[in-house]
Amino acid sequence: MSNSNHKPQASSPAVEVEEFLKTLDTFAEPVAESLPAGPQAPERPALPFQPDEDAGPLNQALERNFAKLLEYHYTAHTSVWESLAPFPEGAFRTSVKGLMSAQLYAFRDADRLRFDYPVLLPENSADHWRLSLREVVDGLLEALADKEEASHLKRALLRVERHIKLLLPKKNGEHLSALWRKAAAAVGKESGKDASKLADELAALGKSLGVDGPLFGFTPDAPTRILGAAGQYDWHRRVAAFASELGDLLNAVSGILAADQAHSPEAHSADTLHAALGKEGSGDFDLDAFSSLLQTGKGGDGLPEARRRRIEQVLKDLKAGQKWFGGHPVMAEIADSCKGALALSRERESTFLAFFKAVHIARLEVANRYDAAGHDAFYQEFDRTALLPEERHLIPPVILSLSPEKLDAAETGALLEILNADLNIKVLLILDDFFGRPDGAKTFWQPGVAGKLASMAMNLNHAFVLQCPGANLDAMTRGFEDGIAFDGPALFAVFQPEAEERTALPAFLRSAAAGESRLMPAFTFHPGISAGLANRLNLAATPQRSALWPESSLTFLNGETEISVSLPYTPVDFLAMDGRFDDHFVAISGQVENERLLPVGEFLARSPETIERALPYVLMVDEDGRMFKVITTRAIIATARQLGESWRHFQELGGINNSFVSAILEEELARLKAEHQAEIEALENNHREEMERSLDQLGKDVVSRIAAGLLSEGPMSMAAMPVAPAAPKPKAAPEPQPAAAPAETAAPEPPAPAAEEEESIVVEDAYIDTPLCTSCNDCISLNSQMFAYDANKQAFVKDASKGTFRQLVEAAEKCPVHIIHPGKPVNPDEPGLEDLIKKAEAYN
Amino acid sequence: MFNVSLENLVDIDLEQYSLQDYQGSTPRWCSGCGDNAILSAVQKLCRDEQLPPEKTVFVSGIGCSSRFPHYMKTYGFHGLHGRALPIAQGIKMHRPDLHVFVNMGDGDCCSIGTAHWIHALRYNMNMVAIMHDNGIYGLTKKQASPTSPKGLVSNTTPQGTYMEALNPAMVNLGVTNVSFFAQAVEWVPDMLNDIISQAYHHRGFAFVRVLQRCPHFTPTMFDPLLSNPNNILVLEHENGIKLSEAAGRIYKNHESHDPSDIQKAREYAGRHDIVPVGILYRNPEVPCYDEIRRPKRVFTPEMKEAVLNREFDKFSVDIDSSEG
Ligand SMILES: Cc1ncc(C[n+]2csc(CCOP(=O)(O)OP(=O)(O)O)c2C)c(N)n1
Ligand code: SF4
Ligand code: SF4
Ligand SMILES: [Mg+2]
Repeated sequence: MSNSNHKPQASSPAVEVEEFLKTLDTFAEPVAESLPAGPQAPERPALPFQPDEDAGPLNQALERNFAKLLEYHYTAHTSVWESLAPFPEGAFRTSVKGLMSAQLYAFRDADRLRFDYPVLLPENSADHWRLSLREVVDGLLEALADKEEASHLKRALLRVERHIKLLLPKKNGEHLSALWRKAAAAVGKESGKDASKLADELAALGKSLGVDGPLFGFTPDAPTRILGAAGQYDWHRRVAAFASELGDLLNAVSGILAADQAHSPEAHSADTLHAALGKEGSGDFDLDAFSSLLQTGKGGDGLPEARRRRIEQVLKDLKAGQKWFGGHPVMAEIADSCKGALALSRERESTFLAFFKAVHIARLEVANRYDAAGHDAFYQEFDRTALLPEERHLIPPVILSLSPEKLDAAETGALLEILNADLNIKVLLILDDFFGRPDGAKTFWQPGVAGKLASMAMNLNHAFVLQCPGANLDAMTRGFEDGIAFDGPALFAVFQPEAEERTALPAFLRSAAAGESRLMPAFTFHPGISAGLANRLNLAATPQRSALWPESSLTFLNGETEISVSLPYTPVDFLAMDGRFDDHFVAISGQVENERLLPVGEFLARSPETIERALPYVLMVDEDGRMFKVITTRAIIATARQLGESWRHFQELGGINNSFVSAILEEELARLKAEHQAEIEALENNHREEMERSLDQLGKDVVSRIAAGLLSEGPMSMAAMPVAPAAPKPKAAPEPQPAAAPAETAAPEPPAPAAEEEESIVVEDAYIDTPLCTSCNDCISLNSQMFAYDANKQAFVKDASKGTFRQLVEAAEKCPVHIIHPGKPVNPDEPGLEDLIKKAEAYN
Repeated sequence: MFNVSLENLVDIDLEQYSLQDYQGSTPRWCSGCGDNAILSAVQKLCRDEQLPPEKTVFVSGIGCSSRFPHYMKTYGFHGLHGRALPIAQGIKMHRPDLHVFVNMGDGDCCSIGTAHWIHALRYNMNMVAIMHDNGIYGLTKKQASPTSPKGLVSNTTPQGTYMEALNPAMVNLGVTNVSFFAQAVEWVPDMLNDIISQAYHHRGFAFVRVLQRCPHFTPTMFDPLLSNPNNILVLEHENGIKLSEAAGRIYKNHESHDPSDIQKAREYAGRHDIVPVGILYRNPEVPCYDEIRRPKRVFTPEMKEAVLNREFDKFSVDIDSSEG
C-alpha cells in the first residue's frame, strides 16, 4: 500500500506540490494509455486550453458589467443576468453544470481511473485483512515484469481489472475468484483470435493469487464491511494465544475432578471394576477382593464439597465461554442503533465477566492457591475493574454502524453516552453530505452537525476518533486498526458519498476532494497517548497539512504554448461541483483579464478593505477542455472562510502554526535580540574605553621619549621606541589550580594493613566454616546436640558443651572438607586431652 | 491504580516455601555420603525458585543416588535401572507445566542407560539431569562402573579395572544437539548451587555431572582433588559461574571460559591433568523436542472422548449371536 500521501510535512513548496500530485495519484491514477478507453468515455483533449483569440471584446464586456457582477457577488441574485451587456458568443455561462474543477481535469475519465477500490477482504489470510484490487493486480504485474513472453498478459490484466470494476455495481460483495473468472472470459472474448487461450491464461493467473474473499466497490456500505473485517482479523489474532491457554485450563480443571474421582471409594468399588472389565472379563477375577485391596491404599480425604462445587461451576462457565475462543471464533453481529449497541455491550460484558471470573478461579485452583477465606469475598464482588487489560482485550468490541439520518435527539444522546463511557463500542458514522438547509430558510445550506461529530467527540477526550474521507483507504484502515486496538469507545466518521445525479464528480473523487478541500480534514485523535495534544491529534493523513489549502500545479495550453500555474484547492472549488449551489457560480471565458478579478486563494488571503470591489474566481474546464474563470458569491466565500478557520483550529491543536506558540516565540526572539544588542553595546563601550586609555598612554610615552631623546645626546634610536600594545590585552584568567594541591610534605601514610595474622590466631571456641559445609551429615550423625544445620542446611557448632572435646576432634577429622575447628577444650578434666589437643592443632 | 488485578491477589496469598517444605523422608545414605550435598543443593534451588512442590517431579533409576526422589517432598518416580530419562521425557511430554529433574548414578547413566542418555541429549527436552558420579556401583556394594578410574580394585574387578574410564564430558559434548553441559564437585557448595541453578534456568536439556564421594566404598577416590584444590580448574565467565570469595581462596586455579564456545569446551573436557568445573557449554537456541511436538491444539477430555466414541461407533459387537 502506497504511503506517499502521508509523508511527513516537507518544507519547500515545490515538494508540497509534488506531494499533492502524488496524493491525487494515490487516490486515482490514470490507467496506462495502452488500455483502450471504455465505451462511454468521452474524447477530451489531454490538456485544458485557452483559444488563441483576441480578448479585447471580452475584457470590455467584463468592464461594462463589473458593477452588476459585484451586485451578484454580494446578493447572489440571479436576476442581474437580465440586464447584463452581452458577452462575446460562448464566453459567458450562468450555469456551471457540466464544468469540472481545473485541478481535477487529469482525472476526467472516471472509467479509466485506478484507485484503492474495489477492496478485497481476504478470507483466511494470515498476512492481510484487506487489499485493494489494484494491489492484487500490481502484484501480478510485478511478477510478470521481466517476462518478455508475458507482455500480452500485462495489458490483459489491466483489462481484467477494469472488467471486474464494470461488473461490480451489480455484483458488489461477490468473491474475487468468481468475478475474476467472468472478467477473464470477457477479456478473452474481446481479444479475438486467441480468445480461449488468453482467457485460460488469465484464469490461471487468478488462481495463482492465493487470496480470495468478497470484493467491494466504493459503495456506502463498504466502510462497514471493512470495519467488520478489521475487527474480526484483530480479534482472531488476540484470541489465538488465549484459546490454547483456555484448553490447558479446561484440561487441568477437569483433571482435578478426574483425579478425585479416580481416588474415590466408588472408583474402587467392585461394581466399577466390574464395569471397567466388561461382562466377559470380570468372571476371571475376584473383584471384591481386588476392590478391598484397593481400598486399603492410603488415599486422601477427597475434595471438600465446597471446592468440588466451585470447580464444577468454573468448568461450566469456562465451557460456556469456549464457543468464543475455540475453533473459528466469530465476533458477532453489527448493531445499527446506539441504544441497541448499548444493550448488546452490557449483555456481552456480563457474559464475559462470568467467564473471566471462572478463568481467574481456574488459574488459582490449578495453582492450588484458591483460599476460600480471602478469595470467596473477592469473587463475590468481581466486576470489570478486576479484569486485566489483556482480558478486556479479549472481549470482542460491539460494532455500531450509523447513518446521520438516524441520529434523532435520543440517539444522539445515546451516542454521547457511548463515547463518554468505559464501553468497548466502535461507532462507524457514514457521512454522505456536509450540508443541510436550516429549517424553513431558503437562504443557504449550512454545514450540518453530523459532519462535526468527530471534532465534538475529540473534545470529550475519552474516545478514539477517526475522521477521514473513505477514499483515503490507507488512512481509514489504519484508523480502524488503531481504534479497534484502543481500550475504550471509538468513533470513526467516514465521508462515503453515493453517486448522485446532480454532480459530475464520481463518488470516489468527491470523497477524496472533500479531504483535499479541508471540508473533511483527515485526523485521528488518540486519548490514550499522554504526551501532549499535538501527539494525540494526528493530522498526517490530511494532504499538505501545514498549508491552509493544498496546492497543485496545472498545465494548460494558451494557444500553442504550455503554461503551468500553481493552484490551491479550496472549498469554493469543491462547492462549484456540488450541483446544489449552481446559483452561486457564473463562468466567464478563461481569457478574460481584469486586475479586480482575483484567484480565490488570493481573495481569501487578502484583508477585507482591499477586496471590497474585487471578484473571486476559481478555474474550471468545460466539456471541450476550454478554461473558464468561475466567479462566486459572498455566501460561498463566507462558507470557505468558515471551513478555513475550522481547519486552522485543527492545525493549531495538532501543533501546526500554533498561534500561542508563535506569539511566545516572537516575544522570546525580541527579548533575545534586545539582550544581545545590550551585550554588544557593552563590549563595544568597553573596547572603546580601553583603546582610548592605551592611546593615551602611548601618547604620553612617545612624548616623554622624544623629550628624553632631545635632552640626551646621540640620535634617537628607532629601536628604542616603545611598541604600543596592538589591542588591550584581556586580563589573564588565573591559572587553573588543581582541585587539591599536593601538599608540600606528604601526609603520613595510613597505617599499613596489619600483616596476615592468620597464623597467630588462636582458636578458643570450636566453630565451623559454615558456608563451605557440604551437608554431608558426618558431624551431625556424630552428635546432633553439638552440631546442627542452619536454615540453609549447613552445619554449625550449636553447643560445644553438649559433647566431648574428643567428639569435636573426631568430627574435624571426619569432615570431608576440613572445616570443623575444635578450638580449645571446655572441660579441662577430659581424659586424654594432651593427645587430643595435639590432634586438634591441625584443624585449628 | 485502583484496578484490582489477579496478580495482586495472588501475591497476597502467596506462601513462602522454606527448605523444610522440600524435605522428604530422612536420607538413608551412609554418613558422609556426597549425595547429601547434592540433595541439599537441589532443595536450596527449589526454595530459591519457590517451585511449587506439586508442580515438581524427581525421576530416578536404581542406585544409592536414585533414592533421591524419596528425600524430596515433591512428586517422584523411583524407576528402573537405567530408565530414568525415558520416564522423565514421557512426563515432560504430557505435563509440560511440571519442573522435571532426573537423578542418575554413573552406573545408571553411563552403563545400562547409555542409549537413553545419548538420545536424551539429542532430543534436548526441557529438564535438568544430574549424574551422581561416584565412579562405582554403590548400591550393589562396590562394583566397577564405566567411570571407575583405571586400576580400581572392586568386587567385579579384583585385579583392578583394565580400561581407561569413560569420559562423560566428552560424550555429552559429542552428541548432536547437546545444549548444556556442566561439571561440579559436590563438596564446594557455592559452585554446586550456582551450577544447578544455571542448569535449571537453561532452555533445553541441562546435564550436570557431579563428582560425588562414596566414603563407604571408595573413600580415597577423590583425594587428589580434595587435598590439592589446584587439580580442579574452575571455568569462570560472566555467562558462566562466578567464584565466591571464600571458594576463590581455596580454588586458585581458574580460567575464563565462554560457555558458548563448544570447541574450547571439548578441549577442556579432554584434559587429563585437571578436572574442569563450571559451565562447559551452553546454547539455548537448540530446538527442543517437547516444544516442537507440543500439540498446537489442546484436546479436552470431552473432545478425546468424542473422537474415541466416533471410532468405536464404527464397530458393533453382536453379543447375542456370538453366544448363540
Ligand atoms: C536391570 C537391572 N540390572 C542390574 C541391577 C542391579 N543394580 C542395582 S543398582 C546398580 C548400579 C548402581 O550404580 P550407580 O548407578 O552408579 O548408582 P550408585 O549406587 O553408585 O549411586 C545395579 C547394577 C538392577 N537393579 N536392575
Ligand atoms: S562433616 Fe563437615 S561437611 Fe559434613 S556436615 Fe559436618 S561440617 Fe558439613
Ligand atoms: S554406598 Fe557410597 S554412594 Fe552409597 S550411600 Fe553409601 S556412601 Fe553413598
Ligand atoms: Mg555410582
